[in-house]
Order: sequence, then C-alpha cells, then structure tokens
Amino acid sequence: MPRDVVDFLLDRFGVSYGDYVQVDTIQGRRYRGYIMPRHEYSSPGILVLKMDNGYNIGISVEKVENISKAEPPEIKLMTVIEEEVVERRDRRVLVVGIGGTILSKVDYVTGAVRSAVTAEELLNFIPEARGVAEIETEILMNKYSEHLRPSDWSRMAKEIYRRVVDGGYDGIVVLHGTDTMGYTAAALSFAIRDSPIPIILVGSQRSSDRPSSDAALNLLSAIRVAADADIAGVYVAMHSSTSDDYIAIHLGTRVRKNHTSRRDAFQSIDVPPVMLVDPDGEFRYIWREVRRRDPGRAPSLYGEFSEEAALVKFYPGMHPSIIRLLADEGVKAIILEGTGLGHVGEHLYEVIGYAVDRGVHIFMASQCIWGRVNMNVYDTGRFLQRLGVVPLGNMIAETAYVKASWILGNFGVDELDRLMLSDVCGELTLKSPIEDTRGGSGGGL
Amino acid sequence: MDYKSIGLKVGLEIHFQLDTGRKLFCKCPPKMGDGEGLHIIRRLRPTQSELGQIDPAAYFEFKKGVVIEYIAPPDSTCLVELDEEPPHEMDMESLRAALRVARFFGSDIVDEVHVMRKIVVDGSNTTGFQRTSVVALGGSVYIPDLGRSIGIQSICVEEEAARLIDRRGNKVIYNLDRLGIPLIEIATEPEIYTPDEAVSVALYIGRLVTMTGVRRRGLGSIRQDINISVGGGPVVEVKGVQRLQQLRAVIEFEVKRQLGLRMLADELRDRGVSKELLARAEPVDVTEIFMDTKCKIIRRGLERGARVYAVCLPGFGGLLGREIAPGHRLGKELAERVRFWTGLGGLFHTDEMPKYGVSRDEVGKLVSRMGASEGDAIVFYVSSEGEARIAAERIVERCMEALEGVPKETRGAKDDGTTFYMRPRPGMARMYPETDIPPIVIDDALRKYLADNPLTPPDQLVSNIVSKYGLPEDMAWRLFDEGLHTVFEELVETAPKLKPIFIASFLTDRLPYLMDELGLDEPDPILQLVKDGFKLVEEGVMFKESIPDVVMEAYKEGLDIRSVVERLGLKTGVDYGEVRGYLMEQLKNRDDLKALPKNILVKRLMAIAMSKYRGSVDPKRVLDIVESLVGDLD
Repeated sequence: MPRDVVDFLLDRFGVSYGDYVQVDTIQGRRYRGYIMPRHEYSSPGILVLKMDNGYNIGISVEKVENISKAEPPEIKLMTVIEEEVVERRDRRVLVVGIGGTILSKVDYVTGAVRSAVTAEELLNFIPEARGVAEIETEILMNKYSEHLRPSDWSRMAKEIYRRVVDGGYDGIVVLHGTDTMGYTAAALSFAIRDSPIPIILVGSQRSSDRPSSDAALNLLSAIRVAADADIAGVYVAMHSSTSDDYIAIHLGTRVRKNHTSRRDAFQSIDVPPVMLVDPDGEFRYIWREVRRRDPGRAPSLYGEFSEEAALVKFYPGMHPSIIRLLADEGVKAIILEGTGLGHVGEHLYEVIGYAVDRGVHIFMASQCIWGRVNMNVYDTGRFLQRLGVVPLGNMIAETAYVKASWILGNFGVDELDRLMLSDVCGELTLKSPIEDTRGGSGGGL
Repeated sequence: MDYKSIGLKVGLEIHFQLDTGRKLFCKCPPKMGDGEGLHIIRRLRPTQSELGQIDPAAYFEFKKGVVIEYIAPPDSTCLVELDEEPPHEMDMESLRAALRVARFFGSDIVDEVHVMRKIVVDGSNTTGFQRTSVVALGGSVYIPDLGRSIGIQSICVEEEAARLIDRRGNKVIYNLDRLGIPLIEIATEPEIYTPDEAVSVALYIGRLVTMTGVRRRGLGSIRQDINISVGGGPVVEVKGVQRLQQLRAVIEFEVKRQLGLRMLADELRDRGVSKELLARAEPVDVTEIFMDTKCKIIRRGLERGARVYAVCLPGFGGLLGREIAPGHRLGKELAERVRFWTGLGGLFHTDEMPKYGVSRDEVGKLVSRMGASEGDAIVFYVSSEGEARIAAERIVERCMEALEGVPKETRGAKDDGTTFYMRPRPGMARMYPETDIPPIVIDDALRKYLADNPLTPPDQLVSNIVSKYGLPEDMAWRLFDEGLHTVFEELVETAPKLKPIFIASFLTDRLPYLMDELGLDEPDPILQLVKDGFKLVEEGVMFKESIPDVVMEAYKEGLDIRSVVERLGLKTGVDYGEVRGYLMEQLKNRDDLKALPKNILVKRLMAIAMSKYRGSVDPKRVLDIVESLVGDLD
C-alpha cells in the first residue's frame, strides 16, 4: 500500500500502528485508543482509532495537534472454561485445508475477511468434533476458491489420494471456499476412483469468526459423515435450509452453488441429497444408489486435468468469434451451455462447423440447470447434432466441463466422446425425478 | 428523599427508533405488524473478539445451549435480517438525522464513521452481533426545565434488535420485523442528580430528536438504559425502560435497593462476616431430610430424580429475608443469579421458613445437619449434582459481593419500576469492525448539509405555534409530543374558517378516541381521512361535528370521505322546519315524553333529533328549536 499522509503523521510523532495513544485535536478534544492499521478501504488522511469503549472512529489528520503514547487500560482476560469432551479414538478423520470462508476470519490488518485460521484453530472452535473421531489437520493450500485452477485440482487429487491410500483414515474432510466447491467436488469425484472412504468437501457461507456462522455445524457434520456414514466417494456437506438444523450431503458430481449468499446455497441437481445429518449427529439416508464404505476396496488415481476444455454460455447476442477464438487457441472440448433443451442461435451454426472441422469436440448442456437436454425435439437441436454437437443428458454444465478436462488430462482426445457419454460417478442419471427439487431446502425436502 | 445528599448520579442512554422508510442496512420498511411469517431455527456460538478475548456474558449465553426460533414476516424482512445476505449500505437519512442532533449538541462529529459489530449472542440479532457506529462525541444540551446543561458522551447510529416474543425452556422466539430498524443512541454524562431531572432530560432530548422529522412513534419506539450509582459506588446499568413514568420509578427503586445493599454490607461487616468464611461454603446433599416432605416443589424434583442441596451462609441469618427495597430481598437476588447461570427456579432459604410446605421439623433437621448456628442462613434447592455445584458457586459469589455492597451488574427494568438481574456487566472487548460495510467519510457536502439544516429547538417551535395560533402552551406541547404539530398546521391551512383551537383539540382529544375505537396504535392510517373531512367542512358540505363519525365509517368500510357523506345522506342544507315538525310530531304521539320534567325532556328531544339528523344539522340550532318547543308547552 502506498504511504499515506497518516504514515507521515505517525512517523512525526514517533508512534506506529497498534500503539495505544492519546490524540489531541486542534479543537481541544482528546481521544485515547489503539491506532488501527490501514487497509484497502482506508480513506486518505484519516487516522482510525479504536477507543476504550471498543468503537472505531476516523479522525482527519488535519485536526491532529499531537499524538503521544499512553498507558492502555488494563484488560481482564477471561479464562475460557474448556468443554469436557469424551474423546473418541476408534475413528480417524483427516481435515485438509484448501481455503475459503470456512478457513477465514476477520483480518484486522486488511480489515476484510481473510483466510487465516488454521484447521487446528477451527477444531478448537468446535471441541465436539474430538468426540466424533481422532482429528488430524493439514493445510494443503490456502486459496479463495475462485483462484483455483485445473492444476490445483490435480495437486489436490494426488495429495488426497495419497492420504486415502496411506493414511488409514475413516474419512477425509476438505475445507474449501464455496464459490467453486462444486467444480472441485466433481474433479475429485472423477480423479479418485473407487475410494473406499468418504471424502467430504465442506465450506461456509458466513465466516467462522461470527457467532451465526454456519461453519461449525457444517464442519462438525462433515466430520461425523467422514467418520461414520456408510457412503464412499466425494460429497459436499452444507446447510439444507436457512435453519441450523439439517446438513445435506450432496453427491460430488451433482451439486451446484445456486445462491450467492444463503447458507443453503448448495443443492443437488435432479437427485435428492444422499443423506441428511441433524445437529445431534443422527444420519438420515435418502438416496442409497451411491457407493458404500468398504475399507477393502483399492482406489486408483486419474489425477490429471487439462486446460484445453472450455465452458461457454450461450446468450442471444453472442458473438461467433468467441467459439472461433477457442478453436484457434487449440481448445479440444467445448461445453456449450445452451438454452432450453439444448439450443444455440442459428448465427452460430457456421462457427460451430468451423470448430468441429478443426477437431474441437462440442457438447451440449443446458443453462436451465434442472432437467436434461434433448436435441431431437426441435429442428435446431437436430441440426446442431448434424453439425457434430453431442448432447449430455442431465449432466450439469460445470460437471461436464470438469469431466472433459479430466478426460483430456488422463485419456486423450480420442476417448472424449465415449467417456463423456458414460456415467463415471453419478454425473449422468437416467431417471428424472418427479419431485420438484428446485426450490427451498437442499433438494426437495 | 434528598437525592443530592446521597450522591445519586444518573447517566442515560436513550435509543430512538427512526422511520426513514427503510431499515439501516437493507431496504425493508421499518414496520411491525401482526408478525406471522417464515419460522427458522438457529444456534449461535460466541467468537473470539478483535483482541482475542471471549466476552464472559456472551460465552455464558451460549453455554446455556439456547435454540433460537425466528419468525420472519415477508413484508418487513429480507435475507439481510435472516443473516443470509450481507448488509446493504447504511441508510444515509438516518445518519444525517443523527448528525443534525450531534451538531445541535455541539458534539465533535467524527471524520469517518466506522460500523462495528457488537457481540450479542442472546439471539436478538441473527448475526450474533449488533451493527453500531459512533458518529459524534462530546457536546452538551441545555435543558430548560433544569436551567443547566447536561454533558453528552456519544451519539451512535445503530440497528434495532429483533423483537422478543417468548422464552420457553431452552428456546427463545424472536420476531425479525423490528431487527434493523435504525436507532439513534444518545448517551449523557452521569450529570443527572434526581429522578425528576432524569425525566426532564429524557423528555427534552426526545423532543429534540422529534425535530429531525424522522423519529418513529408509538409503543417501544424509545428505550432507555440507565446508569445509576449512589454515593460514589459502582455503576449499575438498568436496561429496557420504555416510558417516562417507568424511568422515574426505576431510579427511585434502584436508589432504595442500592442503599439497602450498602446497609446490608455495613451489617455484615459488623457481624464479622468475611470472604474467607464464605469461601468455605460447600453444597451438601440433604435429600434424606426431605424424603417425606409436603413441599410440592421439592417432592416433584425428587420424583424427577433430582436431589436437595443446601449451602450454609455464615453470618447471613435474617439478612436474606430482610426487605431492602419494596418487595425486594437479598434472597431474591440470590435466586435471580442462580436462575441466570443454571436455569434453576425455586431457591429456599431459612429466613422465610417454615413456608411452601416445608415443615418446622425439616428446617430443624436442616439446621443441625448443616451445623448452622443462630446468625447463619441456609439456602437450599433441588437440582442435579452438576447444577448444584454451579448454583452454590453463584450463591457464594453473590454473598461475597454483598460484603462490598452493590455489585456491578446489568439489570433489567420491569413495568412497575423494579429491576432484576440480567447478566454481569459486559467486558470491554465485544466490538470488532463490520468489514462488510466500508467506512463512511463525513465529506464537505454532508457538512454543508448539516450547516444548512440546523435543528430548531423544540421550545422555540412550540412557542411559535402558541403565538401564531393562539393555543395554550400545554396544548401546543401535546400536539408536538404526539407528533401532530405538522398535521395541525396542515389542517389550519385546509380549513381556515375553523378556529385553530378547535382543530388542536380535535387532534389532542377526538383523534385518540377515534384511534381507540378503531383499535389503531398510530394515527397515520386515518390522517388522510381526517384531512379530507376538514376539507369538506371547509367547503360547507358537512358540519365539523360529523368528522369523527364520518372518518370512522370511512375507515371501517374502506371508502373515501365524500362517499360516506353521500351514503349517510349528510348535508348542510337541512330544512330546520322539517326538524321542528318531526319533533312536534314526536311530542304529540309519544306518551312517555309527556310525563317527563322539562329539563329531562330537553335532553331526550335532543337525543331523538340528533339520532335522526346527526351530521347534517348544527346541534346549536337544534337545541334552540327544542328549547322553544319545550318552552311552548306551558
């Protein structure tokens, strides 16, 4: 951050950020408090003081007559009574940190929410978890999920796979930012084949430093599922409604973030959540067509992800050059997020033909989110199929994109069409549910 | 009582709700309705505060394991109240109103407003914190009734908490309609020395905030927290005073309570009771004494599998049951403290025994089992073993505080002016920055706005009304305090033919009656009808006496005033000959009238005429007709 006039002022009076000081103004007023650090929101020329009553106020440097160090008031530290938890030793769960709100707290240097809490600190925050399993924690990386790239999925997949194979854990919990948690869940689902244990991704929509955070219940439930639930493979654990009651466990390839801010932003698409966990740790299994826990099963790893896949949303005024550019840049697979049953406007026919001619594989998912594409109903769909566009059933667009990236990374372009149309781990389901899973709580409850 | 000589010092923190059309951090209207809506369940966990401490009060609220149910009415709440969406930008109109008040006080307005999170985990805020900001510090306000100025400590803009609906066991229910309504909090220096002065200060500051034009009215729209100390003793904070009469009563009660506690401390000192002596007190299981008890509370507890525990308090004999303020005893304070920390009800002590079915014999056994002597008191209660220990610790803690006199604590105000234990005084570090809201710079444009829009002192406004319209001063104040002075001026303009005093008394007397009849807390829903009514009177369409009836009918039927006037057949051009004819006919045909004494007959005839012609005749002229008819009977 460039030096502000505040910095010069502090230098002049020989004080620095974090000092407890007395500030005298030219109007003859006296303030006492800690000098707060500057951050991206800081206005130029404003000194921020945290007063004895806990409030912060901004004082213009023009008003400052004098600043001198002062004796801070005595603070009585409260001894926190440790909750007595009967520790459970016959289960072991590894908590892996990737980043995000669940790994974050208010940073008083930047003044914003920042990833800073260690997984260990987070467990101090929910001592109950120690009564569920023996917990080990490890920070793999610390990134906001919007900064993650396919190479990060590769790294995560390899690291987590190694711990699945060698760690002897009953389950693994992954702390992850929510923005792209659905993508990562799909990526790990494809990469770690035949996992004998559950791998539970968990995030939070309210930072863990606030009393109303959903982090504690989400994480505790994720640990409970990792330790004890009779499921295996990759899942996402998040609130099923705005209440702090049931946590929904969503299949990794069928889950999507459907709200910017609500606790129950994550929903299973076109399937129910696999199970629900109540605040006391009771499990309610809902959808049993998933892999069960089996310590004897040997997993395998297909952990590469290619950056030669693209996800493109169609819109009415879309310029054909977007697809042309991708084709010219050597992208090998494009997932089109078409309208309705799987359509794009006729002004794109030509460029789609152009891309296909250059060996680009083009697949169709729907921007409707719910429901499956069907490109036999209208002329447009039939024509697009003739051009070489392949419909992807009810695979959700983001999962389709991750899958294409995974296929290209591990099996090569020749396997694209065949594998995209085969169900690898629940991403393609054959039956469309009659229950309306769109509204309300995490999937038609 | 001579408050000055006992060294009473009172500081007020007054909270005023604002109605600027929106809430402080979202666009929902600041209204409270019948309150049905979505029900959701939440739990809160305390957090580490900025300086790495956990606030003890916050922590113990959580330890009580409370489940919170929120009711979210769709027309007054959105995802912000549900803590499902980050706060929107601060309502600038609320900020401007607070700053206008600050400027009036001559306070130092901060150069940048920082919104803070004040940790509150009792569930009254879905976030677990209240958003609050200091906008100005210092200054003073001249109180005309006192003839002197009172110092101002700070002026804050903050959000209102959710509305407590019910507390059932481990569950607290709140309605979210109130959450987020903007508040101005004004804290005075502790420079108030009598209960009367406190009322004057609260009243004047309230009137000043009214001058901003955005003060919300109605029940609960103003709330006062009072800091009270006596004779240089510790400050007790009493929260939640809503009415001025209650303010006076609370201070009077607190003074008696604090003086009573000081006297208890003196007596305990004289008796030689020490902390060391108290520290030895331990809970003893005395269940066997009560195996056949007739005391229902104990018996029910034993049936549940709980046990009876007793704690001996050396030197406290007679002091737990002694009245230290009207209806208030140390025994009650022990019970409140125990209830707060453990949820246990029903704390017995030997000072009040035998009572509640506990026999003299049982008390005797208890005394000998505890090895208590004459000057001791024994407290006993039914609980589990774990609770027994916590309860005993809290009892001993409270008794140790009694040695010092008045404990530093936060108390709640009841309607009758008495107070009860709410929680320990919160520590300092319960604030951290609200990082979702960028700081707000008080820029030159805002400063210019403040300079261009100074608040008029309310007394000046009222004296203007008095001199301009010839109203008595108390009537002008009533209009002002009811928030009706602007309506009054509008009506005077609408109906210049009517005397201002008629309009004023309509607003101060008839309007409350109408609101009462229609079950309204606020006049707003009928004000437009009232204005329309006055307009029709001015146009000569109806008589002013008809306004209440017509307004009531129009409101009930959802009609406009003109249609009601037409429907009721009201008109001013009535033929008084017809009225006279109708009354003569009645006199002739009704035997019951003939027997009446004249003075009664006049009244009866008036009633008969008015029930037929109400609203379309001038009652004075009808009276003339009646009197002449009755006079003619001779």
